[in-house]
This record gives sequence, structure tokens and C-alpha cells, in this order.
Amino acid sequence: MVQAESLTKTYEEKSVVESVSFQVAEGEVFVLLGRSGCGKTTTLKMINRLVEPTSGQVIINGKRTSQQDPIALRRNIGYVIQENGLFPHYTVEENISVVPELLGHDRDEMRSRLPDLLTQVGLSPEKFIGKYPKELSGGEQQRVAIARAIAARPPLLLMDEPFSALDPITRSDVRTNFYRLSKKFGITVIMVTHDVAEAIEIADHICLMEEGRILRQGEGKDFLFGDNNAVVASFFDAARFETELKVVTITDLLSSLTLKDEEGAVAGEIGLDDRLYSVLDKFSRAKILPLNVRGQDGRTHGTTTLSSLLEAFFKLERRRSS
Amino acid sequence: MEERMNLIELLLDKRLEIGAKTLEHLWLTGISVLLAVVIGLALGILLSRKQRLAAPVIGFANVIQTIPSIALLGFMIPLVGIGSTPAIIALFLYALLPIIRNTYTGISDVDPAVKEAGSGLGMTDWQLLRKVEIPLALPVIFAGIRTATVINVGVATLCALIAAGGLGEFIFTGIALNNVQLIMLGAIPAALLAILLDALLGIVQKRIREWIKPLLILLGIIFAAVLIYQLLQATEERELLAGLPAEFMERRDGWEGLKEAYNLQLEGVQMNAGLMYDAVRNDKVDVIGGYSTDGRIDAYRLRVLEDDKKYFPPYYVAPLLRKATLEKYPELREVLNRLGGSISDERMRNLNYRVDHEKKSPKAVATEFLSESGMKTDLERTGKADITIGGKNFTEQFILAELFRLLIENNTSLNVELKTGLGGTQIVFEALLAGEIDLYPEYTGTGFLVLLSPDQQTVEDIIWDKDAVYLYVKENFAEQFDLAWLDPLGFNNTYALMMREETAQESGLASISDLATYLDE
Ligand SMILES: Nc1ncnc2c1ncn2[C@@H]1O[C@H](COP(=O)(O)OP(=O)(O)O)[C@@H](O)[C@H]1O
Ligand SMILES: [Mg+2]
Repeated sequence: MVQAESLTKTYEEKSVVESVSFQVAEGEVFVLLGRSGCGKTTTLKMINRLVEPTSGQVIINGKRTSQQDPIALRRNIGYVIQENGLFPHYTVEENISVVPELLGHDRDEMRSRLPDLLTQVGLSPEKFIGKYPKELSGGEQQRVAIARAIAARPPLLLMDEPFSALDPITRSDVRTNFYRLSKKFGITVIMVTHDVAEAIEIADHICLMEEGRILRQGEGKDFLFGDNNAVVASFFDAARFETELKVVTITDLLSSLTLKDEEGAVAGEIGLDDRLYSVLDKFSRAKILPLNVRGQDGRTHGTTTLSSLLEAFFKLERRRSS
Repeated sequence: MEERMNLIELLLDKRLEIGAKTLEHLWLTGISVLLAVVIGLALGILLSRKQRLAAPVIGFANVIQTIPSIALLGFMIPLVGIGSTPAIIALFLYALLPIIRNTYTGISDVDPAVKEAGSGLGMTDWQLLRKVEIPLALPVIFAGIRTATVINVGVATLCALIAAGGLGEFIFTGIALNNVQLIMLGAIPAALLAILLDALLGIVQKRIREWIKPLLILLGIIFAAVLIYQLLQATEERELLAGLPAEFMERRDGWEGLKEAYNLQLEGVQMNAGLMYDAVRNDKVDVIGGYSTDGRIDAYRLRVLEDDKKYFPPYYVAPLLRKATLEKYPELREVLNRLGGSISDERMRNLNYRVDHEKKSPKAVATEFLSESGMKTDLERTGKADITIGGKNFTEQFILAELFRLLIENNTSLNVELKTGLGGTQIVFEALLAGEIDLYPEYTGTGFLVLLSPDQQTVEDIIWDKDAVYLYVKENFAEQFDLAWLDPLGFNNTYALMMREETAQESGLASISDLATYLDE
């Protein structure tokens, strides 16, 4: 859906982004990951032409952005930034209605959709609709910013560190909520973050950047368990253990795990798509009690325990590093 | 206590006049601030778009702000004359800076994240400005308007100096006559007006985002009304007009008496004595009430209308001293009297001309005069002053004070200090009585009419006889104030009506009676 072709941006001889190319498929969450100052924001802004590339081009749905009116282009692309950028003199309702109004959408139609939209981002409509941004918490503000960005149902959403300013618990809440939403509506998302764990958790594809260039692209798991060069590895090492736990699913572990068939008391049920991290989190008190493993079809595949799961995880780890 | 009673009585007595002047004041302030809002907002917005222009434009507005108000008013006269137009332009210029600056900073200080979100969501620059930046900057912009208004209430008092009216008229007349109550009559309403407007605008400022629409509509209506009114006014032709200094307006031997004596049907407006000459020269007024020895009479090609009915009393100048000083330094009498009778009207006018037009210093001109008369001038003493010479704030007095100083320092062993430029007769005279100065050049007519205020009979008896007046003041000053008049210097610096030479010639006007007849027709 989105293609970036050798995007380059130079400011007074200093090259900030250098021939960056990538492709984003429809409906996927694509993450630009990298340390602060590596050129993520600049790359993102070249997509909606807040920054004009020095060379290279962006193609959205087969059309070059350089040949479209930037204003019209932006009205059809959602945009969320770290500092939320809500208009302080507008209520939640007015904030969310900005883009539909710019596009000349019917006001009543918008108003009727508003409660639904707020509910979807996890806010109670009656409580929030007439409030001003300064009356909201950081998490609530960011939810409104997301609602504002998708209010006119744009096919593409750009997000620049949208969760970074939130505290860890709120962040995980807002992020999970957003992830479900984006999948539900099939929105294509290009998101910038410097948080490896966040990238792994949310991304279908990650594009790792360093000093304006792309180091590597691929799926989250490839970065953790794949064949990485030293630079890429060093980037992930700091948060490796936690990140790996977050990214590994029960299915991934099946190769080194034998499911049993125990009868009697179980601590609960886990799915094949569940991440190891969330399983550990949820059943930390289960200790040695077995867990039922269920497939997507609802069939029980067998039982396992937390310790067996961890054992399998470490086996996988060892296989990667040898 | 008695003073206070008097002030209240005066306030009640003049309440209609105060009301009218307050309205004039409000008009000057309001219309100039309104203009500045329109232009300042536009400029401020432009600067927020063209950041590179910001420093030079704001710098320029800053420079205007630093020009002393009276000077700025002076610059206006040759360009647009006197009255409310130049006053409004000057006030407008003063109001511009706070409005431009606050608009510019208000817009620039809008959270960059909010601006980025606006453009990111697809607002055009104009939409961003209208929907986001201006509404968010509005409280700051309005604070600028509020500052400008309060500044202008103050500066507008000065507009009385160029005949624009307002509460300043009371203040300047009060200063000229050293009448504190009259000053209060202008100062108190002006201060109240400033406080009131500040409070009112403060309330609006808090609500500005809600009130902005009705406010704009209201302003639009006011603007339209003003425009129509001005257009109607502009079609009326101006009659002959006289520009007169505050002191002349109020004095016993001044304007009202003159109009009566000659049956003169002439409208007079009050203005600053210095600016008045420029006004007549530039054809902004037709007649002025000045002094017969003023250097600008020659320089600006003015004609003094003959006082054929001898309305103006004689104003022969002489050194006026404290008797105590004279007793301490008796040599002063002989030294100062050396000047006696040595300066004719023409001579004095010429000396004034050298300062006013040739831009020489009063000191240089005084030195020239003494050398030309063969007197010593080379000594200039420093050190602790033995005596202090005072003077009023016009050219002639500066020259005479320098003359006295040179004479004394070159012919006695005394050190002299000057305290010239004191604002008006009453102020200098009281400084003399208080011993803050030892002598200053005073005019017999002023001593007689202003300082002694004799009864009507005495005035009528001797006013036309210059020697009788001199003797009268000499005796009475010695008795009442312990002050001594020395010998008159020779010239008569009386009040005089003057006009541009060409205008006078065209209409064949030589005397005040001619003017009265001319106006009658
Ligand atoms: N307008 C600009 N002018 C000059 N340098 C810029 C500009 N915008 C960004 N940069 C520089 O480009 C580099 C990358 O910036 P950015 O894309 O914001 O990085 P990131 O979002 O990855 O933190 C930084 O070194 C930054 O200083
Ligand atoms: Mg960034």
C-alpha cells in the first residue's frame, strides 16, 4: 500500500535520512525503530509531506505523493504524535470532528458516530464528549488523539512515538486497545518508536534504523531469533530477555515441548497464540498446576506447566546462540 | 482642608467641561488603539509567517516607542498639522508596538505540537491561523491591546499641546499657571480613566475567546460610524484659527480680554508654545499668540499685528533679585546695570533668531553679544556656586540667564550656577522666594499683572505707561517680597498676535483691528 523509494533528506549538507526504502502492506502495522535522532520522525514526515524529501519518492496506492496536493493528502492520512497535539481550546468532540469538518463531511453524521468512536478507543462518551484536553489524563488525551486521527476513517495512519509519554501501565493499556482497533478496522499503520519491546509486541514488520539508514527489516521474531549482525544484536540485547518472552508464542515453543495429557485440576487455559510473557504474568501463582493448551479450533491439545514452558524457552534460546 | 474643599467645588463647578474633555480623551485613545489593533494584528500575523522580518519590524516599532511623545507630536505638525489628526497618528504609533509584539509572540508561542498536529491533519496555513493560532494567542494579543490602551490614556494628555484637546488641557494650563488644582482636574480623571479601562479590558481578556465574535461586530459598527462621521466632517471648510499657549489662554491680559477689546470673532485652540510657531508656519493655524521678540518671527517670516488699541501691557525685562543676595554681594547692582537699556527689540529678536534658527547655543550667543558690545567674556569660573540664576523655559530667558552669568563671572569674583528652563512664571518666582535661585530675568507686565495682581483701578490707571508700571513693581516687590528690580534691559517683549507674512499681505492685515474687521465680514 505504501512504498518508500530511496528516501533521502539532507539539511545543509548534513544527511539525516539516506536512501531509505520499504514497503508496507495493506492492514499491517509497520514500525520504524531506532535510537533517538536516527531519522525516524523525518522519514515518517516525508510520507505525509510535512517534510519534503531531498530525493526519492513515496507512493501510496500506486500514486506518487509528490503529485498530490499535500493538504488533501494529509486529510486522508491519520496523524498522531507523542505530545498528542490536541487543540486546547476545543472540546473532545470538537477535536475529533476536525478532520471530518475539513473534509466537509456531514456534521450530524459525524456527531452520531462520535459515541461509538470514543467507546472504541476506550473512553465513555457521556463522560468525555464535552471535556477540554486539560481536564483529561495523559492516557485519555492520547486516546482522544487516536480517535481524532481515525475519525474520518483514513486508510493509513502515521504515529510518531504515540505511547512514549505515557506511564508503563497506561501505555500498555492504550497500546493494546489501539492494536485491536487497528486490526478491527484494517487500518494500515506506520509507527515510530525507540522502544524495542513495543516494536516487537505490536509490529508485523520492523524497520530498524541507525544514523539515517536502514540496518535491517523483517518480522519481530527474526530480529530476536534470526541471524543478526553485531550491530542489530547489540540493539536488541539490552531488552532481550523481556522482549523474547514477549514475542515468543506457545506455538513457537511446541518444537521443544511435549504436551501431556493430565487429568484433574488445572490452573486454567492458554491458547496457542498466547505470548509466553502474558502466560507467565497471568499464571504466576499456578506454580506446578497444569494448564490446558487449546488450539484456535477450540480443541484441547494437551496440558503443560509453567516450568515446562520456561524449559522449552531456554532450549530455544540455546539453539539460537549456538 | 480648605484646599480640598476648593478642589471638590472646582470639580463640581467644571463638571461639564471635565465630562467633555474626558470624552475627547476617550476618543483620542480609543480611535488610535482601534487603528493600531487593525494594523498591528495584520503586521503581527505577517511577522509570524515571515520570521525574518520580525527583528527589523519590531525593532522599528521599538524605536518609535523611544521617541519622546512631545517630539513625535512635533514631527507630526509639518506633515499633518495640528488637532486630533496628528494626535491620533502619534498615539497610533505608540500603540503599535505592544500590539505587534504580543500578536507575534502570542502566535509564535503556540505549542509547536499543536501546530504540527494541525498541519498534520491537513489544515491549510490560513485554517491553522484562524482556527488554532489566533484563538490560542488571543489572550496574549489582548494583553497587548490592554497595555496599549493604558499607555495611550497617559500619552493622550500630551495631545493638548497640539490642540487636540483632552484632559491634558487642564494639566498644561495648570502647569503654566502653577495651579495645582487645575492640574488635578486633568490628572485625576485621566488616572481614573486608565484604571477603569485597565480593569474593564482585564475582564474582557479573561473571556476573550467567548466574546470575540460580538466584540468584532461591535468594533466593526464603531469603525463604520467613525468613518462616516469623519467623511462628513472633512467636507466642512476650516475657518481662520488661532493657536495659543495655555498661559495666554488663561491670563488676565490674555485671550478673552483681547477678544473683547477688539471684538475679535476668532476661534482659539490651546497648544504648546513651541509647537505653535511650527503650526502657523505650516499653515495649520492662521494666527498665533506669541512674544514680540521671538526669533522665529524673522525665521518663519511672520508678521506681528500692531496692537493699535494698546491692549497688551508693556513687558520690559529687568533682573529681579533677592534683596538678601544684593546685600551680600552689592557689586551685583553695578555689574548687572551695565546692560541697562542696551538691548533693543530688534536686537533681542536677532539674538533669539541666532539660537532658534541658526541653532547656536544660548551661551555662544550671549558671548557674541557681549563681545560685540566690547565687554569681557573670557572668564569662566568653576567651583562652588555663590549665586544661582534661574530662568523660564523659552529661548530669550536662556540667553538672558547666560548674559547675566557671563557678566557676573567676568566682572566679579562670584561663581554662578544656572537653573534655567523652569516651567512657567509661578514656578520660577516661587523658586526665587524660596531662595533656590537668587535672580532671574522677569518682565514688568508679568510682575505687575500676574505676580502682584493689583485692583482693577490701579491697572487701568497705569498699565499703558511703561515707566509707571516699572516704578510700581519696583516699590511693591521691595515691600511685599523683599525683592529688587534692577534697570530694564531696554526691549519690550510683550504678547503679540502674529500671522504668516504672505497671508497678512494677501488680506492686507497690519493691525489687530484689521483682523477683527476682516473676520467680521
Ligand atoms: N529541520 C531540521 N533541520 C536540521 N536538522 C534537523 C531538522 N529536523 C531534524 N534534524 C536532525 O535530523 C536528525 C534526525 O531527526 P529525527 O528524524 O527527528 O530523529 P528521530 O525521530 O529518530 O529522533 C537529528 O539529528 C535532528 O537534529
Ligand atoms: Mg522523533
